[in-house]
Amino acid sequence: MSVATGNGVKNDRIVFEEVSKFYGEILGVNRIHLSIPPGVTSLVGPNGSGKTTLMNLMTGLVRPTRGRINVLGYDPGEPEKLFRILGYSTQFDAFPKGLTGFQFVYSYLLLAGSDSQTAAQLARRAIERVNLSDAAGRNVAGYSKGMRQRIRLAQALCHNPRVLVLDEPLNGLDPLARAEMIALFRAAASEGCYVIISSHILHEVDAISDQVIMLSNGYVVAEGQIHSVRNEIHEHPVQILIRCDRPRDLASKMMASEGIIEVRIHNDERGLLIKTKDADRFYLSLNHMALNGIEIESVAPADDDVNSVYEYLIGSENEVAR
Amino acid sequence: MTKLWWAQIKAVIRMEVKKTLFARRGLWIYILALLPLFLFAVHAVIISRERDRSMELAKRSDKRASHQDLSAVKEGMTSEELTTLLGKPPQYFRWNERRPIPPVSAAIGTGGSGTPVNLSSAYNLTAIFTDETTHAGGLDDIGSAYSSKLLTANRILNGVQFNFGPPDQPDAVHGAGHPIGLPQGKFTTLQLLATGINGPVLSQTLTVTYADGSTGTFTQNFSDWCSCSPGPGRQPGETFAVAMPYRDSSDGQQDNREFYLYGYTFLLNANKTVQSLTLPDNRNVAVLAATLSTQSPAPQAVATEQAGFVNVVHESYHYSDGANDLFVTLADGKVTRVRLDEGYNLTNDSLVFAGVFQFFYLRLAIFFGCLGIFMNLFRGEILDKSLHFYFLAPIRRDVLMVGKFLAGLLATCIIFVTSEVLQIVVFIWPLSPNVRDLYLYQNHGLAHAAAYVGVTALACLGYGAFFLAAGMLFKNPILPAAAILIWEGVNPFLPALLKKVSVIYYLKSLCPVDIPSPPGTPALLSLLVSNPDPVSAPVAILGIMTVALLVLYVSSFQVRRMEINYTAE
Repeated sequence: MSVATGNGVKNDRIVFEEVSKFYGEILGVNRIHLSIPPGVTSLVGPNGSGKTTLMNLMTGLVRPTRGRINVLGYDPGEPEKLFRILGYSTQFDAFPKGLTGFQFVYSYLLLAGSDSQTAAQLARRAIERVNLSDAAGRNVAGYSKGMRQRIRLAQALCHNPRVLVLDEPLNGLDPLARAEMIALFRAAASEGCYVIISSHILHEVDAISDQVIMLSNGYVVAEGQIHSVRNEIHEHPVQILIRCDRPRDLASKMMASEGIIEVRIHNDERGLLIKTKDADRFYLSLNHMALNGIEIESVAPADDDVNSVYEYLIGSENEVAR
Repeated sequence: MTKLWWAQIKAVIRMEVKKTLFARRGLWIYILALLPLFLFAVHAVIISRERDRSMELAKRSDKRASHQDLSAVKEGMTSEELTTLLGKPPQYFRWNERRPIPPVSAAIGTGGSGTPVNLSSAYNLTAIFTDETTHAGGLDDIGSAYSSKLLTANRILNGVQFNFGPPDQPDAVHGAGHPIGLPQGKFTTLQLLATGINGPVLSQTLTVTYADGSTGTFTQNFSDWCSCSPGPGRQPGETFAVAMPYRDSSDGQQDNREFYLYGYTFLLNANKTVQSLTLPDNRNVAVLAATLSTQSPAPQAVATEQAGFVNVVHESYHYSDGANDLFVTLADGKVTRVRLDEGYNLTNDSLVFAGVFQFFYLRLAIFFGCLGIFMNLFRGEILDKSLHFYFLAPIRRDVLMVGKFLAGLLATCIIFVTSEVLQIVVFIWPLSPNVRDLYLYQNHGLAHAAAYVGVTALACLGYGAFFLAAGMLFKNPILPAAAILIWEGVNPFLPALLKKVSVIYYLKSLCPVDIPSPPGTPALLSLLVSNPDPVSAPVAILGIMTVALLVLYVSSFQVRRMEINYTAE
């Protein structure tokens, strides 16, 4: 249920209103308007595009130069309230000195005001969730990069927040751990949590995200569900991959259809790659062709993934890991 | 809500105190805090050993001496008088000195040969004074002079007549570059009675000008007139002329060392008529008499006379009354030197303790210790890039600041108050139980101890607040530290209102022992030492707390505005 606050801001969303942040004369982000719903939202963009700034603004670690931010009705300038519902796993790789993994999470909970028994219970549970129980008694200074990443996640998760802000949470994790963490994020999202993730790894973003926010040079260049974003990019024809038994026959028929810009036989000779500006019309004509005896195994869009959308919108000059 | 805040503050204190107390980079703070303790401990050990030795010495004495007896010993007493007063010395040693007898051949009187030179027109020094008269000037310009009793008006050295000027008025010459007229005639030698002052004076040039305009120059070293100087009378061409057992000081007292006047002989061209003498242009060469002679120069008989020796018996006695030690030096059965070492003097030592506390512990150790600890509470975490840990917790920033401040206060109090308590314990440890009780319960010792501990804690509070604020406001701690140090240093010179915005103003008022300025201390320096307008203890305590709270209140705005931007640091 969406509830509006006194100033008209909905408190079931994370809202950025005309937010700008400058570090002196250097632009962090500019004129950001966002309304982030529950689910997994990925912030995508090259280095320096403003992902971390956006997260730091959301969590009050930096204050906006202009504009207003509201996190489910809470002002990021009031950490005592905000961090009751929000957990933030930062990219900062430094920890208070001399703490074990358990003490790191436990101390955070004590700071939150938990009594020692509750803090210990919650800390143990969070460490279990990130599969770090065996190393919980070891000093954080001796952890590997992946372990440090996981203990930060445990800290962010330990008080069961409704909003999880995770800056590059999969960095340094091995494939198995990545899969576990992705499952964890998805589970949190399915329970109604707001999971905000920044990532360089686009195919993982694809797998995780309900929506993406694409950033470039401090500006939001696109936001929303990835398919909707793709459909809005009219200057790039839609690419569709068709798997069928007689690709050459199908190709000749396709060439005769209107709206088809390019037809290529797939390298494995078991399909076609079509480029069209009118996808709906193409799908209609495909039905007719299928009725003419060509057995079509599958039809799937080939470029409505984050990777392609990112390349169309931001370009290949801003390299990110794919 | 208050309960939550207190729980959060406790969590912050728990983390910060542990981190602060065991930080490797804080090792220097322990050294600062423990340095006075170390000094007092060494002092206590030395005092204890000396007291034991004094007690042992007092036990060995055949007569129980009091402090009054020890103080009664004066220079000039005989060894018999000394042993009558204090008994046989429990510790002594004796040695013999084989002292050369200065060969003094100048006899008192007139009738010697030669033509004495009248130097009176050139007199510019008063070298001879009547005994027991106060005077200025003298040979060395600070009143030291020959005694007229010893250096009488006329002397004959090797048959040659020398005449001195009258005492208590100019009667000697130091060279000023002007020629001094000589009696006309042809002579074989020019003989001077002279001396060096303020140490040996080497390679001095004297010039004799003849009537035909030609000159003869002589280079001569002059020994210092005191026997205490190195090798008196041993310069080439120099002989002892008159040896005197003392000299007069400006206050009329006698300086009982041996002093000399030396003789010098210069060969002249006997075929030429002398006209003038030019002395070296040096304030440290003084000529008291000069005579021209036609005799051939005397053989260096003096050198052979120098072979005579006299045996002087020296003794050193050590007495003690169990607390104070008396060292007496005797020469030939007479006391020549007395030194009374006061043992453990509580009054003096209390002043030393107060001085160390005010000028080292309070103004340097605690000041810089608080700088190191409180500045790091925020600044250190920013440099370590770990401050976000706190800023990501659901805790009010000002509550976090209070927690950190209290943690810093606890850590500094643990370090500095503990050190202060130990210093006090070590300070009173060498006292005998009776004196200790007397000091603690009847001479305000306990109140002083409490005051020192309290001032230490308040210093941590006051300086802590300033440095916590500085750590949030400034990236480089050197600048605010220097500014606060200067501000605290110039506090005595500030207007009354500004004085109150400082920590040292209140702390000085709370210090239990006033340190008197030594006589002659410049007024500005005295202001630093003394506290001309102290405030009462309640006002001082309230003042320091108000200043600290004010600074913390202002800091609370800053902490709420702080951002995490490590790359900018």
